[in-house]
Amino acid sequence: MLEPLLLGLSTGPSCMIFCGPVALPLFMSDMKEHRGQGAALLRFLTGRLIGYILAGFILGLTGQLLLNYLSPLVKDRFMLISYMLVGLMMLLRGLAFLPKEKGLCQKARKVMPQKRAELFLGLATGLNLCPPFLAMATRVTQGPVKGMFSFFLFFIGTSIYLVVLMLLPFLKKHKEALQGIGRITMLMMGGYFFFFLGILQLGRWQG
Amino acid sequence: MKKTSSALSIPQVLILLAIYILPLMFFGINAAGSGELPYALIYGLYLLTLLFLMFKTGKISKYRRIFFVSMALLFFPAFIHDLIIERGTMLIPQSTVVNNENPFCHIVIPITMIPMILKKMVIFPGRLMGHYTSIYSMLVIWVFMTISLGRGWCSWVCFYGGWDDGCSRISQKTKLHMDNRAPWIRNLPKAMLLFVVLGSLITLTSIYCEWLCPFKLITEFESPTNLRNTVALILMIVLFFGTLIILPILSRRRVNCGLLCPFGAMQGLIGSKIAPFKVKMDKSLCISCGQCEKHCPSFSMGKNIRSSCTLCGECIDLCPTGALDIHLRGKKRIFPKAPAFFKELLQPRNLFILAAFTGGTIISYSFAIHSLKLLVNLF
Amino acid sequence: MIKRLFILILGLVSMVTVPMGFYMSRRYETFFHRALGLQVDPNYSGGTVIAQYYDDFRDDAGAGSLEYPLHQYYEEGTLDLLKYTVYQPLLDAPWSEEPHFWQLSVTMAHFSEHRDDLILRIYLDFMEGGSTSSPAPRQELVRFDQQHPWDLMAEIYAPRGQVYLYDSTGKVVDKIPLYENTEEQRYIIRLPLKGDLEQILDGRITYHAVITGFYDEISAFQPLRREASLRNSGGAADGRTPRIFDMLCIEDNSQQDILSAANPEIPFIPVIPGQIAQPSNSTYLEEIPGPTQQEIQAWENSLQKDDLDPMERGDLLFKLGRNVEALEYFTQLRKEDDNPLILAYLGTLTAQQAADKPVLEAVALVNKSFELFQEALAGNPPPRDRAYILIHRGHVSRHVPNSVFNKAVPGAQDFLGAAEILEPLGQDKSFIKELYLYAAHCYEIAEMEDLKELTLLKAKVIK
Ligand code: SF4
Ligand code: SF4
Ligand code: SF4
Repeated sequence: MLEPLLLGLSTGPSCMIFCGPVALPLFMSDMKEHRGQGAALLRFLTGRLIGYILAGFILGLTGQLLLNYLSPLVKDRFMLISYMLVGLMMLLRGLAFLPKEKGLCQKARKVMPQKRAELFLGLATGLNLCPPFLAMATRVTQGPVKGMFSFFLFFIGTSIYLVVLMLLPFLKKHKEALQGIGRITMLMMGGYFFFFLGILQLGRWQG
Repeated sequence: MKKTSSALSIPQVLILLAIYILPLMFFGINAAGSGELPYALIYGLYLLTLLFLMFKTGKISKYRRIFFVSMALLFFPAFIHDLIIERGTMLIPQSTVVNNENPFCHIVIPITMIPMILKKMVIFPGRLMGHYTSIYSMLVIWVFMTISLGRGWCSWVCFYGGWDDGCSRISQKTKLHMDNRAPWIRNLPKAMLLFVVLGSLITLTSIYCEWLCPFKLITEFESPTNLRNTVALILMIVLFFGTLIILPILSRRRVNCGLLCPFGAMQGLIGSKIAPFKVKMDKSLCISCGQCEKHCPSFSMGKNIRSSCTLCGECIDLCPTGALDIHLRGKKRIFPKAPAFFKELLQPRNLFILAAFTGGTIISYSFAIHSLKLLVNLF
Repeated sequence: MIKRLFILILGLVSMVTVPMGFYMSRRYETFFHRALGLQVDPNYSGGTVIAQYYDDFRDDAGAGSLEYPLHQYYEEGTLDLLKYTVYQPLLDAPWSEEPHFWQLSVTMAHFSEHRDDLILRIYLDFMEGGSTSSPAPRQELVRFDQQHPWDLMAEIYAPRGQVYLYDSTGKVVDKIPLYENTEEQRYIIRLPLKGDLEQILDGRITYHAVITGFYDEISAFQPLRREASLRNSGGAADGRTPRIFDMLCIEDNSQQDILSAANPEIPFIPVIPGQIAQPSNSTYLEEIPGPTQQEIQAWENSLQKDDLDPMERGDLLFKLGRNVEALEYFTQLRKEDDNPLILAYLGTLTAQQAADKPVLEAVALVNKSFELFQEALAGNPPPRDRAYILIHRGHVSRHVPNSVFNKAVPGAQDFLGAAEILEPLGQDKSFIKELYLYAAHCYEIAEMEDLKELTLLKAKVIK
């Protein structure tokens, strides 16, 4: 019964390897007080939860059928798309911080305000087929409701590690610097996801 | 106020050189292979001359730069020659990757650090031991150098840094102003470090080596057989000429080392906390002439001296009042009341120069004499 | 004042740390390895190992009668399989030209410069259907297990550095590069996970057969003659003798039985993910017997004889552990005789003196000992003596601390070199085996697990 929770707890550190690089620059780029940070984290986690529940629902419904279909190579392609999506969102968010008034930066600010970014990036990481996620996925077999429930428990197990990000406001003293670093990192990260992990790898589709 | 001269007297210089000769003999001349002895002696003499001049004139940066640039220039002929002997090409052949034989360089250290600590895994296809470019030997060298030199590594020991350091002093005039105090310049190195560390975590491979390292051009790179590698090759060439040659000439700053290198950024963050030597400013002497900020090649001088200082000595030499000097644990003189002879002899700056120059000497010796020999044989 | 002194010391220590770092980095790698236990991420070395199988050493004679061609080009052991390793299939492998692949590797007993005629085939069964015969006309004159018709065959063709992939109809469907690791004597192949092979990703059990033979331009497997000639292998009973020199055999299967059957059928080995066969080798040094009480008595007795050969007298003193006497004796003998073996004894005895000496003195003694060995070898001794000198040096290398002298690897090479010299001279087998075990111990000291294992495998079959 509690297996998904334990699984989440034990694979959580690996989760951080995949979610951390998205979450850390995201929150660093917009440093807030404790309360604001809490709310932001909540938004991110909500996005993630939606992703997980969705995954639980679909997997519960189709069971092993989908998993069999999800051969590792298909999975590879799915990851590619999700990298590009995450990259695009981070890029937009990074552009939004540039001081330019008009043009792309302004559009970015409109399309991707911070709060939306938190929610959507959460959702995207929630649907990311990282190893812990796949380990969990193979265990869901008995119907959509149970599937959603086990993914919910799994979510709780893995999310505990993300609470570390609540420590960010304690670094208030270096707010300026951290924010500046976070924003540049955001841009670079977005570019890397979108272009290098995404577009440049498209050649593999032929395989 | 007139600057007091930091030049040393001949007996003082000789004492310091005598100390330097020990490691020079042991690691340099003693380690020369058969037929390399003449070159080892020539190189040793060259180093001794530079060190002599550095102490005698009290000018640190000028002679340091001559040494640092010659080290960078002597590094790659020997390295490339070895590669070609070992595997026949400068391109990274797949068999090298399959057998985990890629040379591990210090710049990868920050990138591989987190998986190393968390999972005891090195995310780099290098040799663990038994080779001069192996993972353990690089790690050990790094730990010891950080303890003693901190970011001084980046002006005295690194065999890459000479490129942009040299180029940053080719032109007399700054043609492209890069403002030390601009926030993005301050944040870029750390952002770069954070980016390559986090980015490498996702794919568990060093993304710096794959995409961003300009030094691959003078060491080894992948053959551009597909789109991905072609993009990497173009990026590498742009970064090499852009950040190591053109931008440094225009801006008189070390654009790669000061802004982009993740190892440099890490040394700035960790090394400057650990190492006992630091450049410090005596505020009471400073007349705010701005020389130091204008000429610091590493973007390290703003309102204060930043942790990214590479202890290159440029500002120390230029400061008209002598407000800047290398301090040891915050002390400019260890024994201020001692007789002048000892007081000057035991200045922290002398100790630092000896330590740092020794580091550069040892790391460069084998490839320098190797390259010298190759170059002589060429003509 | 004390604070100032402390700062001075700090400054001086910083100066010493720099050369120390370089010194340590060369000398103490193994020490740091033991402390940190780092590993290169398996994603770079082809994935985690999921199965390892061992094959006997020196069974590269087919059913027992096959011989290599006589030309020296065909060095002994080139066809001898020792180990077959299967890795976890990898997706998105970093730095790899082939992003998704399945790595297999074969370790050979001998990896000479000349292996131009070597051919090595790996037959794989991983799905329904397939074939039970070799791709005609390249016949190795065997059939394959009816239960496991093969679907894909990888032919390692060393001279071109290529691997040819055949499908079950005998067509070449792909050509992939062959990687070699000369130090570990391994061939490595990375099968691209494309087409049918994608199916193995679900973790199913796959079946493998590995065989070796010599290559011939026309029929792939070189025909066998009754008698070996310069270019032709020999030992065939008749035209139907399987042209296989070695095959991967585990557990109860005997290669001899299979290949000498009337209609040989090559068995497949199931590779079950996660099942790793490790040879147990913890107590190998205990296999080496010490001298018995009788032997010691006999040595004592012979020492009393007057007509002893001078060398023999020295040897007896040495064997009986009367080191002081022996040292004196050999030092004296050296003045009268220029036999290089004397220098070897002196070398060992000199090194033994180091045991209870202060560090610097001990280092000097050990260095002197190696100089003596060097001198002995330079004196151009006859083969047998040369081997004994190598053994002397090997033992010294094995006993001096590796972190200081870095001699473990040369030590191993000395023992193996001695074995190589003594074996053709008809030396007692158990003695040869001991040499292998000592070599393995040297590799163990040097923390080179792969080579240690390889050497132990070789030692295991010498009876
Ligand atoms: S910043 Fe990087 S490249 Fe430059 S000197 Fe330092 S380590 Fe070398
Ligand atoms: S060079 Fe710098 S430290 Fe020296 S006087 Fe001018 S501003 Fe002050
Ligand atoms: S602050 Fe001075 S010593 Fe430090 S890097 Fe700049 S010029 Fe060099």
